[in-house]
Amino acid sequence: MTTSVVSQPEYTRKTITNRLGLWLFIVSDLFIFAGLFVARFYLLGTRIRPEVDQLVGFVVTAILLISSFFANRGEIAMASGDRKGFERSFLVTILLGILFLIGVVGVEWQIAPFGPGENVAWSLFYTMTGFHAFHVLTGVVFLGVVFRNARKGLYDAEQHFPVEAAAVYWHFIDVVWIFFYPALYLIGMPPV
Amino acid sequence: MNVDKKNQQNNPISAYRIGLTVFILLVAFTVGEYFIGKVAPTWAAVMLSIAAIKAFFVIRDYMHIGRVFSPEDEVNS
Repeated sequence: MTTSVVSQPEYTRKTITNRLGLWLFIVSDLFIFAGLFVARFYLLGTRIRPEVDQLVGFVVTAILLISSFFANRGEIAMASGDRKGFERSFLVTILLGILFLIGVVGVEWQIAPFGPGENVAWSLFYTMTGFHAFHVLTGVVFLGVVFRNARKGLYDAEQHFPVEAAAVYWHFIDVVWIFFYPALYLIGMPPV
Repeated sequence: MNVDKKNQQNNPISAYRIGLTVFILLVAFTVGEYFIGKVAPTWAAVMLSIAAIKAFFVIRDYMHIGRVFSPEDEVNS
């Protein structure tokens, strides 16, 4: 069942405005992440990094990249009218997002040999991963709401901006992690 | 490689293929990054350049930034 109540020209006009709003939000959010990213290099330079497990970092990064791939598939499926394909892909994205959260908060935070209160530099690791994890959590909720609405038949191949917005937001979270991953896990050596 | 929404509707196979190609590139770059981090952890410029390339592909092909600048193409969005 599809419940399109807006005419296509009107929907197209609204989508153009909504899309601009989405990107303005993303750019404004990006400034906070950029500030944290710069603070990491200001405090630790390029020779020192937090003493974290590189393999865990690689695994959670892989999980997020795979989830982005499925978010993209879900959006394409909806745009081409493949509702089942959309549901499968978004469900996988949601599950991988939850797995990412478990990997960072449930594993990395537990095995890290330093706490958030130890010093400013190490607390930054928790700030960066925590702030990012919060975005992942909100992304999972956003994807879940869109998934539920799609099952109710609120979107179709012609009118599905919320699906696009959820996917774009999810990819934004991925882009942030693309820069956080080398900054936190790869660049520099743990202090001796 | 940029795909607008019209292409997604008219030619989903092509859109899926682009999505897969970008994913393979991301995996290859991430594996490369991981090994650079293992053998040369002070090569910050190299690793951040790889990150920038990865971000470029995601922003262009997954986030479809082109749609923001050419909304007139989106008659059927």
